[in-house]
Amino acid sequence: MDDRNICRVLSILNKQLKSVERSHSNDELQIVTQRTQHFVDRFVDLITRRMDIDYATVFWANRFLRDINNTIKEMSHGNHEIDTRAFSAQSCYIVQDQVSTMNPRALFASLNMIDDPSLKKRIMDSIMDNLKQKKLNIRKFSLEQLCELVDAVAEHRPEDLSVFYEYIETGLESGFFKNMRRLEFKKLQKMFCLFSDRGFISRQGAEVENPSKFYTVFLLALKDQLFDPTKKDERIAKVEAARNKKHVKRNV
Amino acid sequence: MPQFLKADISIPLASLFKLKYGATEVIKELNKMSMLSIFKKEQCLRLLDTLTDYTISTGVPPGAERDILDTFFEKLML
Repeated sequence: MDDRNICRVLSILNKQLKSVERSHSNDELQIVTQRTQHFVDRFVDLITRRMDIDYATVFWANRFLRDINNTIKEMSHGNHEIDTRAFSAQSCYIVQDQVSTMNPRALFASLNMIDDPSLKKRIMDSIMDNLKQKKLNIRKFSLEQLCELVDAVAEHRPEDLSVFYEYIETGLESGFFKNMRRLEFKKLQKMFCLFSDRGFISRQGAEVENPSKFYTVFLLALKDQLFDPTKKDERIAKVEAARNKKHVKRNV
Repeated sequence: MPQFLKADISIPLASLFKLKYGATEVIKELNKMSMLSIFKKEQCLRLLDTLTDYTISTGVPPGAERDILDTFFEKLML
């Protein structure tokens, strides 16, 4: 059986577990647990033998496995569990190996599928190495995706944060991020807090006299959040409509 | 019979299950056939997938369907 077929079996087992959840049968739960463990072990065996497995298959297998494990834990009150340590480690190798071919969305999805912090750090290291070697193009990342990347960098590789701050500054100055308006304010806020906490944007220093581009962009976004001109117009229009109604009634 | 075995019977059966048509006779015959080694792993997977969906969507109590599922799983685990 190849990797795709094992992934398919895991998806079937995940579906079966949903019906076991309804019937509350302990025997069936045990059978599904044993079968899942069997196929997980086979997947691990397959990965150790050949490394050309597609990261998408690994991603989906991880997702099904996470669902299955959560349901099993919940149903057995923590007594049963699938041993996924070897599978997580092996899937981390696959992701590490294929980072340069992934798009940003897949990259974050793969990063989020792994729970173990040490494995996450390994993937982050691989991302940073690929960015440095220009195998991974940072221009593919939108500002929103960069926010996510910065967040992950701050957690696992804080020493590289300055590079990202400078890149965002340069990008904003050269007008590279044109989709700025569509950016979620919360993400921008998170990034602003992160940079100010790490001392890139300081309260006393140059920001007041000579504000950086990022600082200005954040201030403008904040202004839009606090005093949204379109919302204000709507409010005024409502008040005016109410007034007009009153006038009409009086005249009648 | 050889002609019948050469054709991939799993495709029309899977289509029937997708249409939520799982007549008792069909299930019975499939149960008998699953004991034989006429199904390859790919075909087992196809039937396993659609039959699981069928049993979940119709909510039928596990009977012959369950036996078929078990047989297919055993084949896949070999």
